[in-house]
Amino acid sequence: MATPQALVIDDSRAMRLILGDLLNQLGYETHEAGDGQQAISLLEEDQTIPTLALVDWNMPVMNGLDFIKAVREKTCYTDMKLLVVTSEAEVGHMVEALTAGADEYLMKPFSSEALASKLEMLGLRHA
Amino acid sequence: MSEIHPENYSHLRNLLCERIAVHLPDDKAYLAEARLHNLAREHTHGDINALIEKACNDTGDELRCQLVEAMAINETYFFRDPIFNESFIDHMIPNLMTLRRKERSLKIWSAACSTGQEPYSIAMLLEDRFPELKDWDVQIIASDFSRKSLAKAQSGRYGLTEMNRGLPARFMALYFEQIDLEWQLKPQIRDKVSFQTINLVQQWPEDLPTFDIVLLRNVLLYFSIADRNLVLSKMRHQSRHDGYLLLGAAESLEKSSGFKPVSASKYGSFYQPS
Ligand SMILES: [Mg+2]
Repeated sequence: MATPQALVIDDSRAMRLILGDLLNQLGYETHEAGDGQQAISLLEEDQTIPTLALVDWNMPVMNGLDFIKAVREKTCYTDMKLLVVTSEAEVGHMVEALTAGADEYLMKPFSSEALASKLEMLGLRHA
Repeated sequence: MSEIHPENYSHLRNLLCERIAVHLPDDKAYLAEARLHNLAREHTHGDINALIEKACNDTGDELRCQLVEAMAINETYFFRDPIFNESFIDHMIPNLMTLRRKERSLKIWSAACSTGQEPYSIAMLLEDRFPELKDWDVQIIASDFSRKSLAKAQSGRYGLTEMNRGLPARFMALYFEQIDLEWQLKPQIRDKVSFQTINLVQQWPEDLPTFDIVLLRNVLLYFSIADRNLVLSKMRHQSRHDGYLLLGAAESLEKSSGFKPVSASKYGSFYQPS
């Protein structure tokens, strides 16, 4: 079976590294974007649609919410799971994110078990 | 961290066996060191041996109780195991709703509820997936021997780590409110669960009803065969003949237990009185 692909969207490089590392350990090949707009360009360039995107909330250019809305407008991305990863102070946005089409929510800081548990809830396999 | 003297470790094992029928293996002293760390800091400047000696020699029982509670912390989280989705939603509840349609009553017992995630998960599932149960008499009783775990369960308050594990975001949005750095279940869910202190290997309350569903998950595996049989035979009397018993994902029962497996689920581990 092909290695599952994940897209990590976060304006913090440190956060992208941490998330990328955790996802690699869980058996994913990862791609990175620093904001929603970059992520969309990446998706449009690439032939394969990732199984999963980890989406930060606050980002310059295009934030997480707008990215989710943009992606959910296009039917070709229906199967791509959107996991919002934000700090706990932003939990009030959760309803907004879910309404816009996010599949799950993970609060920073989190453990690798918590990430694995979310992937399981999304019906995604992990190592 | 101080190392436990073999003599003290054996005192501790005896205490756990006597109070909650848990058999601590020979080689788990490190577990005791980790779990008693905080209690030792509180009472004996971090000295675990002094803590055990003090508890054993105390005239009151309080410290011994605290020792047992600290040792027996049970890992739990919301919606533990996919068994909730598969067997609970697709099989057990619909089936019981047909069987009990006249009496319109459903009694569920979470018999080792620890910090409450299990009974609350059930309450959220019923609220969300079975709105028809609104005018039924649904009782969810949750019990544990540990007063400390029960106090936390009753508060319905959870921290970030607990919220991040197993709980679907939708349920978090629907049923929780944020209070400072914690989240609290709304009264609409909290009020559905009633908590009681019950030690499974001691006398059970006389007013305990007979149940349609009993969750006894990841408990029996720590008991001796004799205690296990005793608990199971009491549990059989406490269960409706067409009710269900749910065990942990890795647990199973022999034929002689008085329960037979229901083979509807790939997650196994759910039984009915035979
Ligand atoms: Mg950010």
